[in-house]
Amino acid sequence: MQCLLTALKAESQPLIDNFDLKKDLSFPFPVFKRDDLYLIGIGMGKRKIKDRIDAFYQSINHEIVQFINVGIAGGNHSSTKIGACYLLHKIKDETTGKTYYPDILIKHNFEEKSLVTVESVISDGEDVYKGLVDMEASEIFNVCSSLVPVHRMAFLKIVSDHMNLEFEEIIAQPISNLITLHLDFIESFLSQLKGMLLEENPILSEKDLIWVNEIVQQMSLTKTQSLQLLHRAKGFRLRTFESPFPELQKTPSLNKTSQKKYFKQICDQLSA
Amino acid sequence: MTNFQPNFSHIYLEKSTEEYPLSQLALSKFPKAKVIIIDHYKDVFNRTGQDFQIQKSSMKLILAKKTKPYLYPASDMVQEYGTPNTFYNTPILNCLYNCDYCFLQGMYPSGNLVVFVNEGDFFNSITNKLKKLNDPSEPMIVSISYNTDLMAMENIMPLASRWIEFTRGQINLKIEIRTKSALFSSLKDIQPTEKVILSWTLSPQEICEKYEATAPPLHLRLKSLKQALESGWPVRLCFDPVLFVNGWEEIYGRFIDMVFQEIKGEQLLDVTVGVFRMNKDYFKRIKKRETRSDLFYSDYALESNTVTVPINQRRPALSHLKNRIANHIPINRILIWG
Repeated sequence: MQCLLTALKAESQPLIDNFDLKKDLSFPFPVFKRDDLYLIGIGMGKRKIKDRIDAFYQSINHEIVQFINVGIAGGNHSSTKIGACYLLHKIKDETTGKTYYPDILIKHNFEEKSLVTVESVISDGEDVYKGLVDMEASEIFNVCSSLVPVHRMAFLKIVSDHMNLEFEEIIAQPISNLITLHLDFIESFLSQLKGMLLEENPILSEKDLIWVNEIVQQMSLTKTQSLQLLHRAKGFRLRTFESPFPELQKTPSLNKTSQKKYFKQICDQLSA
Repeated sequence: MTNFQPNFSHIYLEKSTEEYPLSQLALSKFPKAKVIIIDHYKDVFNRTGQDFQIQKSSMKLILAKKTKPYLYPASDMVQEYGTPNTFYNTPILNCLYNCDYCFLQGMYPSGNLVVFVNEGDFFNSITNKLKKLNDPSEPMIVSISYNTDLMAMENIMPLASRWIEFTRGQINLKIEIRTKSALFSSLKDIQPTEKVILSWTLSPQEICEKYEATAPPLHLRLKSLKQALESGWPVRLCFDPVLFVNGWEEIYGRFIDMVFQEIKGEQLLDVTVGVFRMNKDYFKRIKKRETRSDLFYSDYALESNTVTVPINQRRPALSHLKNRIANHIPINRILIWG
């Protein structure tokens, strides 16, 4: 599952259109989805980010998800180009002084840059900031890193100005066009990033877990026994890949001794 | 299949380390790497929420300056070689390889490598320690490749050769460089010295393939080891850890005989043999991350703070292996852990 995070409507609209996302009305804030791709409107600045991401994460039952922030940023006039898209490898929060480092593990076609997250629009920062500035990235990292590992976050920033414009001037620009120009690259990046999710498949499949749960129920296993069974089931799966788990005997209700004996038998089978 | 960045696609450089020769060397070896300036290596290496195993698919290099301590007393996981003056140090944190049974994945939060570029501080700490050993009648032994594989890095960072040169001016010092590398060629022009023990960890090819997949195969390690012997280096052989897989007796028996067909036992300094063992907390941490290695789903015993093969299983097995090795090398030169 992937979740795009955007601050402005002008940033989200081209993505919604491109991926044909539909509004999910079950959220009290903008959420769009299609299959396993989501987009959350997090609003401008840090204020609403935590509540919205937390609420979304709860709603997907903590499933494995990647968060990708796509948005505009101010850029230093000598090191960035208006309209260019950059992948962030360092994010500094100007207020807290904290620095965050996204893991960049997959190949990509973007130039990389560092960014400073500030509290308000910078309209006279041409010579102050060497890289990029925005108003959300550090808070997104801060919030998402408490939910998912760092390699499941990515930050794409498209330069809208050289930190010499007022907010009204920035949003008066055709921001959607800036995003639209990079849609192909963004799509290909998302697809590469998604490939990494396969590396994170749990050892036991849903079917395997059903088998484990059936035994736990059928034999009324204690918590310790359940954990032992899970441990051995994982070992079995890693050794045998596709092989089916041992078939369950249809046993009438077991007394304590026969339960222990049967449990040991299953464990031995899984360890063989 | 995921299209990972090559290893060392990114170099994190601590602000204060740019001028060190080793930093310059590393930067020159990877001219295409993105260099990211950091305040302190722990800001990257110790971040929460890293996935050690996935980072191993695209390891990054962190260049940093180590602060004290530069020398640690040897862990009880290490064979002590009959001297109380046994230490290890950490010129590099983490390893190019990623063996299934390695404790580093439980020890470190990151799969990335840290190279400490202030090698002079490491050298000085040893020179100072040599002056105040607990038992000066015994040599000081320092394992410099305990938390890494230094020789595997030699083509990138020639630390092993620099350490070898350092020993030449020292009295009463021996260093051990433990490796699975096939890169002896990188040391071939260096004059051998009795002060440096080159230790190769060898495993049967079946074990190499399954549990040491990122390290060189057995025949290449053996080739390197033979070259070291032929050049006159003191060489230690490490069968460690011996893994009790199905059919281990036959697998290891055949393997030991094969190794000693290739090399003469009397040429070796000694042989060490050990079983899988790991600090309890590291073991728990690895399991919590749902490691993909079946090794962590076997039955082990907890002895003091160490997860290891139960004594009733390992003692007879080690004794059996010891006898088998003793066919090729005097028994007093076989050191056993367990």
